Amino acid sequence: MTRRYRILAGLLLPGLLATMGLVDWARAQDAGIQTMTAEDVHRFVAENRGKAVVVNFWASWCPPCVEEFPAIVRFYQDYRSEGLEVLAVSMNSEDEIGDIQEFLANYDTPFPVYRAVAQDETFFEGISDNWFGEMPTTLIFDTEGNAVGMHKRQVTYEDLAAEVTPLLSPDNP
Amino acid sequence: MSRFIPVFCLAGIVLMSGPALSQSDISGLEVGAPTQSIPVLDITGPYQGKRICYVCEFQDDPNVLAFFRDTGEETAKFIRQLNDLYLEHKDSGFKAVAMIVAGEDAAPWLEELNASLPIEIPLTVFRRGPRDVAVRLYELDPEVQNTFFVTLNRFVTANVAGIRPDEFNRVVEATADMLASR
Repeated sequence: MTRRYRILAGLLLPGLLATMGLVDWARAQDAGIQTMTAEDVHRFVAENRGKAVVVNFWASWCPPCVEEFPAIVRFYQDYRSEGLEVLAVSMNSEDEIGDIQEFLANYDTPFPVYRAVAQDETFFEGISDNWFGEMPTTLIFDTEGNAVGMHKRQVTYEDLAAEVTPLLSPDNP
Repeated sequence: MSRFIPVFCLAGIVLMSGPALSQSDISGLEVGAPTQSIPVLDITGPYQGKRICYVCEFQDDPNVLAFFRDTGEETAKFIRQLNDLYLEHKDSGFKAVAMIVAGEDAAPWLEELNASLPIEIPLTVFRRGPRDVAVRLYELDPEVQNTFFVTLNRFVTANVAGIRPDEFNRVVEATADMLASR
């Protein structure tokens, strides 16, 4: 195999494995805080079709993000068995990875946490036409992968319970 | 020759109005633009010494985001006036923050200012100075001394830039209009 093909395989194989469901998103972050593109976020939602998905955008320097995080963790723990999936995407920059790790050390985060590959319009616009980088922002997707809710403020456990639990089904975890 | 007279007159008006035009500087986001989340280094506020996003902290509350190119007596006057504006409206949920674009070198000056006259609004600096990503995201003109965004629900309702301290009433009036529109 030539060097060119080895590089190509290295670039394509992880994406192919993820598409085939052979890479566990949660385990993929074990090596550290990995980055995610806007397309990756949409792929995560698509791969979890059949589940309600909550995507939370946060940063360690965003006070309401820090305040809402425990509620999201608790909500996930209470409803994961009923078909809930959560993805947290940090908007911290690369030189703030230590801050992310310090923050996450306070929690036994049971869902995958990634860092946005860019912290500007290129990422915001890829996520939603209606998102301009405000934080905190939480998106809610139904079991078909449709975006059915968007919060551009701190969410509470009660907010999530009211909007997400109707999308869940205990028979379809 | 007579047909050139209007052209000369127009050219004269444009030349004479040059200084007047430059007094109403343009800097920052347009009215209606959303305010993005930017972390700044808090010098005197409740998150002193930490990187913090006051735009995030304020969420949907009415507020004024004030950007100053650098420190100095004029900036001190603006900060005092902004603090007075905050004190006048804080009971209605109004917030304000002052951000020095120049960067961390401004920290001792802000601490001294806060010590000389306790100021309730957070005084902060851009962590990377004029190269901070916030300069681009907020479309700040590095040549303009000051830029004030009056915002509500994370959208700019008024942009006042390049003013003198005796023109701060423009920020006061824009704030009153914004609060009245809620």
